[in-house]
Amino acid sequence: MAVTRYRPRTPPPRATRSSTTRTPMANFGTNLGSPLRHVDWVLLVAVGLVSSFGALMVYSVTRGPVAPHDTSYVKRVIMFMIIGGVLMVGTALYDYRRLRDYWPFIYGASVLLLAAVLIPGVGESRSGTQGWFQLGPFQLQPSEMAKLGMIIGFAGLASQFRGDLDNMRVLILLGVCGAPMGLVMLQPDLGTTLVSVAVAFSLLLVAGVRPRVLGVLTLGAVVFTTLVLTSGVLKEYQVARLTTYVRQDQQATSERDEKTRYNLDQAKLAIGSGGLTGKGLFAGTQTNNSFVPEQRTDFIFTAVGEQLGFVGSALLLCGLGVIVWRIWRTAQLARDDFGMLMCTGIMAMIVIQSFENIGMTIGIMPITGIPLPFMSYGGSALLTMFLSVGLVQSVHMRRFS
Amino acid sequence: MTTPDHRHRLGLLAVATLSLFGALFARLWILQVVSNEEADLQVSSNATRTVILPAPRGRILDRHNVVLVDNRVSVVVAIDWQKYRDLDEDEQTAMLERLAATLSRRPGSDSDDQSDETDGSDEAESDSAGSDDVADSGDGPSEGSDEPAEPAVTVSFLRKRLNDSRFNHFRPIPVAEDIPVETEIYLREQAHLFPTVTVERQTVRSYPYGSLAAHLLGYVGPLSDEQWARFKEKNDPDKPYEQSDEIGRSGVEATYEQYLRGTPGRQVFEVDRAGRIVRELIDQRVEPKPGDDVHLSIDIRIQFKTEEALAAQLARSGSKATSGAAVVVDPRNGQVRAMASWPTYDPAELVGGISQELWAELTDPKTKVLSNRTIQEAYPAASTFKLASSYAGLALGIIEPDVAVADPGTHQLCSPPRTTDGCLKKNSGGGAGHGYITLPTALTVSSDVYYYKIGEAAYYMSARGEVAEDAFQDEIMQLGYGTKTGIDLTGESGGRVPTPESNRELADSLWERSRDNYDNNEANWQDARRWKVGYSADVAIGQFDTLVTPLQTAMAYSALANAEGRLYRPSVLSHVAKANSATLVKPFEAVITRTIDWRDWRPALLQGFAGVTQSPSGTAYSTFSSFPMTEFAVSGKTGTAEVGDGAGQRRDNSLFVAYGPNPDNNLVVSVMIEGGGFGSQSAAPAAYMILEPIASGEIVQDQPGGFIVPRQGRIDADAAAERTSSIGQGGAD
Repeated sequence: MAVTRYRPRTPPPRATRSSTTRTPMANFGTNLGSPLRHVDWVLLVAVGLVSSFGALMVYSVTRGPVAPHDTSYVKRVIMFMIIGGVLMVGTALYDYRRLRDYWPFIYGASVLLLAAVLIPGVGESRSGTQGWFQLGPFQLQPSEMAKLGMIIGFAGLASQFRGDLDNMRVLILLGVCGAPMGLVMLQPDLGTTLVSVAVAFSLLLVAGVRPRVLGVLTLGAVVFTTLVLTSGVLKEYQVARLTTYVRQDQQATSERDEKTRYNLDQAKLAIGSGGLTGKGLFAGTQTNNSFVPEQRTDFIFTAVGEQLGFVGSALLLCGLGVIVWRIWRTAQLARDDFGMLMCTGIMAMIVIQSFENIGMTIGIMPITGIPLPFMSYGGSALLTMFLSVGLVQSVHMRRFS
Repeated sequence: MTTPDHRHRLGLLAVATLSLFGALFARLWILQVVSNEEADLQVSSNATRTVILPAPRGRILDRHNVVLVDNRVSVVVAIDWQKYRDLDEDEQTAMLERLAATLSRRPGSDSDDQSDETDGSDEAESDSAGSDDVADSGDGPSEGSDEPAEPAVTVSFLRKRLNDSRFNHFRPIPVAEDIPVETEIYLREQAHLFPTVTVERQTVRSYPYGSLAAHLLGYVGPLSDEQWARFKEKNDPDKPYEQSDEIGRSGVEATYEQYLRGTPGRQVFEVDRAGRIVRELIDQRVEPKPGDDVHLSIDIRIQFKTEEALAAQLARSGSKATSGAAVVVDPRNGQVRAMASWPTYDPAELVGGISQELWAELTDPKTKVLSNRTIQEAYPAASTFKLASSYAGLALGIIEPDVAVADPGTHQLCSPPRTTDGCLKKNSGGGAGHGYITLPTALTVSSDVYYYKIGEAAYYMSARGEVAEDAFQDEIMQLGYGTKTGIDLTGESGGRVPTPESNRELADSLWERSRDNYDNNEANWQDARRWKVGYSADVAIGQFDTLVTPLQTAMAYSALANAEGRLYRPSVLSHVAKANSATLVKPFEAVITRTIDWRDWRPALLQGFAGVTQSPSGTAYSTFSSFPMTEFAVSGKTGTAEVGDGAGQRRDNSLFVAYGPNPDNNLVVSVMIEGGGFGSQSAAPAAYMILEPIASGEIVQDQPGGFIVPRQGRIDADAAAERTSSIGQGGAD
């Protein structure tokens, strides 16, 4: 077994010490030794840096052109960063292995929330998407949390199958992913659905689904997508947004299309005009003067591109890359399938969201409403990211126990 | 528990991730580094708005640096569209109502007696309620003294103005100009009542000498639609026009537009997506530069005397004299010293928009107030044309200066074949015969017979084929008749010298248009096409549709008055200089259109014209009997254009052209008074009045000072007529 081959690489003394107790909190007080000594500091620092950078960018596009500058947005971001930090620490200290027993609850809860948000009156609708709960001054976007819920659900179930995936089990796993996806699609939140598809695909791949089955699934997905795009299930503007990037050089076909194209053009202009080193912080005319749409949320990357140029964009990509690398490494190091699959899902989620978000602003991906991890303004997304990193830390810290 | 299989698959994931990030890097590199310039360019036009700062026009001065057209500050009320549209509808309406009421209020009058609440009058802006008030308030200093009372302003007018696309919505939109000081103060003090309203000071044209030289100076007005269309195609590279800009529409303002127009500055604002101004980019600001000063060759003192002379003679001639024109030029270089046309107008009334009524009045085809009659209208030349026919007769060898010709007072003209045309007996304008006369006498006494004979001889020379059919007219046109002089003013007429060819064309076009013009009889038409001997004879005395502008006459006589025989292209320019400085931009350059070869004829001609004013037999001798000839010897020629109806309803046009001081002539005066009667009756006295102050030394041409032009150039025509009533009014042609 792999276990025996893996064991010799771990330092024996630590492994034995940490296995004495299963309560992190107890450990915290009495034995500073085990899991806490294995915190992934690189990941922690990278997440801290990227999210702080995100806060700065949100400030740059929301401060307004003249003093007194508007700080309300950045304050909220910082508040969410603090809450997220606390959640992350809490999650990291929590032994993820317990989730192996609880995953049905987490998964079930997220599916329930997704269902509840569709009920008019319970959930709020914003620009045609029924996807928010209004909680006092805050809006909760359950689809963000549901992505994590799906990952935990998949990891929990798949780890119980212990790598023995016959067609029936693959179908069950597909069902686990399909339920939240379907509900998200009903909102409709196309971006999140697409991210979920990519995450599910990565999970299936890593979980050990045979290549032939993956091929069939891919084919099915392509056929399904084509059907969706042509059957009229999607609203016109959604199709327009999805397909605009393919037709960037052609004439606009409708007013919707025109608007989408305008957004895309402005975003590309903003980034392109940044040049190598950018126009300088707070000196972006496009992003600071609201030429670019949704600039503090989905289009936050344009602010980076315009103000800090290629250098800033590349640094951000590196920052995200470091985070992804650390999570990937944790997946490799994880001592069980459950942790490994969770990390895989989280990593896939961050990669896909980053690629799709940045890709859409530079015209290589369709425009969908997906936040840039750790950067975009938005509490639910940020908290989900911090929770995810907390889980990864938890896996990392307990890779020997 | 991770298996090698897992690691293998995680590796796949890593590869996929790396390729995705690689794609992002590549795309960003292309977008931000490779094709960055393109985006840069687009972004800057995207995010900024440029506001043009208009520059003051250059001034127009006379040859002694007296300012004829200046700029003055006008208080302009404007609405800032940027802020206005942020008001809600109720606020907008309330503000507009308050503003309309405030602007309609007259200063110093408590009662709102004028019917300013009448709605829907679209020309509310310039409903010139003020035109009557101008006269009685106008004796203060030149600035602001004669501002017209503000016309009624209505809410509907304000709304219309705000939606007018002529105005740049990034600049405050003007809704009222020249508002009284009281209103200005009120608007400033009560600014909170008038959100979005700005009170600005703007420069507009002012005319220290009122209507003096109005036609010559011209006026500025908004760009016409055609002009704007042309500028949209191809704008001036250095001084681009905006749709709301003004442009010189006539006169010097039009011809020297390129110098007078200032170089507009600009302000660049950064704007947000909604077009709201974020801040000004100070480093991109360009201050406007005022236009160049145009110094004219005009002498405002002579200009005043010229206009006064015209006005006085018109007043003296009574209601039958309707209009007139007079021009004074320097025969040594073609520079215009004065140029007057009557009726005239006050250019100040054209500043900042004009009411339709006033416009209709100014452009009435019956009075043609805006027309500069010295160049834009052509009149029968009458006997002033005899210089040209003398020259033609001499050039064709028909006459010789000292060979006498019989003038029995009447002459029989017969066209071949005699059988069909019969003969025509033509009488001399003066009536009686003059006996045997040589060229000088023919000019002095203005013998028509002498010139009939020239015309007749020319006709037969052509008929015999010795010379071309239009050889006579050709020689005449050597003196510049029939073609534009090329003066640096707009709308010039070339006049008309009838030729056999033009006669045929006229007959053909009439026949073409309607055969009824010839009673549907082809023979009549063919007859009309034929050039007859009487026509040549009539051309020789400047009748039969021989039309000339007063300036053409002045230029032709200048070619005689200067010793070199130079026919100059007239010009009103002295030079163009930088604003308020002596830095020369464009100097005056005399342009010689043609040099006339007078051979040995000049003494006889000079003698003949000198006799007109100085010899007792001269047609203008009685007029000039009291003129100080010893200091300033004047020669001239009278002319009486037979346009009268004989019944006394309409009188002949009176013409006179003079030059002096002989022999070193430095002035030529050409006067035409429509309905002025005989040449010596009103035109010659006008020329007298123009030249007398120069002859007497009241005006020393090359020195400023001396005669002081009254404030606002105000002319008291009756007083002038009274003062000069002693000038003899000859009864001769």
